Amino acid sequence: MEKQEEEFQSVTIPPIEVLKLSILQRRNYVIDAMECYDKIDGRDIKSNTYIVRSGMLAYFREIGFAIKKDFLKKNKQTEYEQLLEDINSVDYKKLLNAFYIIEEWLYDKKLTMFDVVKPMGGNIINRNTAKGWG
Amino acid sequence: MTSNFLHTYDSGLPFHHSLGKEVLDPCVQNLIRKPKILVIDGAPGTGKTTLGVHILDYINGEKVDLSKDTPQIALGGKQLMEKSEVCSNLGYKAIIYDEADLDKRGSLTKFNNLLFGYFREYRSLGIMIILIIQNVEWLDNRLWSLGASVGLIHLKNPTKNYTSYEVYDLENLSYLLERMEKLGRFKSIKAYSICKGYMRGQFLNLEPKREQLLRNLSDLQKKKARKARIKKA
Repeated sequence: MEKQEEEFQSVTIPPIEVLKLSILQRRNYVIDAMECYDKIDGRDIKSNTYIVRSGMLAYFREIGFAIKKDFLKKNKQTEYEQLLEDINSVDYKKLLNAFYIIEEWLYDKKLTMFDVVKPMGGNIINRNTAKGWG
Repeated sequence: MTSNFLHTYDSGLPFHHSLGKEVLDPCVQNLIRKPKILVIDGAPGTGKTTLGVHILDYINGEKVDLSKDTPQIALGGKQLMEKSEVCSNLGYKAIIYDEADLDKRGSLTKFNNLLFGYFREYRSLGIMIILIIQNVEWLDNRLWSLGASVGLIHLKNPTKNYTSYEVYDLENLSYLLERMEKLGRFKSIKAYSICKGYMRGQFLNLEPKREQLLRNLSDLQKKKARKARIKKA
């Protein structure tokens, strides 16, 4: 037992980082599901959106509470209700719309913000500070 | 006899102006609050001391004295301790610590412990130390933990008139040292070609007169060191 306790005291990834990864993974599943749907749809084969919808639902379960809190804080009650409706829908366009609303939200929360990398410049002291060398 | 070689670029400096603006200027700011050590390394004959003199010229704003009793060039820890006090009193912002004897094997000796203590406490003098060594790997590990080091200037490919330099910030340097350790004793020099710095450039040689003065100074100091070693042996 003692040995197990020691193992639990090791340095590990903080839970918030694990959660961020998990969100991005769910997002990826939805994108994959959409790709599959688009491929089948593109060949004029009749298909349904159950994989995209289930992916979206799982994705929303992961971040739904934070979205709800944020939307209500910004007095966006109607938008939130619309989002819930879109996610529960079987209509592909509505699902896609919900996906883009979540994308915007994730960008605002800096989880998918990859396009704003600050150039460090050549100042050696600033570079050291920016990279955590004090 | 006049030399056909250039001794300054268009900017009036013997190196690219980015080295002065991006590396040297930030280094000499807030010296009292945050002490700084800039390491220059390179194989013998690459011009480490020459670049050190160029840097002193730039920081001083005038040509550094290269006579026998110059306070700004110290050989070994003992001279560093003596001369840095003098430099501080004279209002100089930087001193060269040439032929640094901070090798790892000797780090446990009383002398290196003294030197480490000095590095911890020299902040009050408000001067930057330009540490010149042949291989950055030789430096005592504790020097990095002091948090005073700002980076490394590695010299390579010397020619008759100029030498190339590469500037490593602490992030680049950490990868370089890690790679050196992985490559082992015999291959560690290859790490420089694997881990690159973030700024590259070239610096020109000193004017023939000053070059001769520096050579005389260096020879004199090396001669003294050689004699001391022979005496010890």
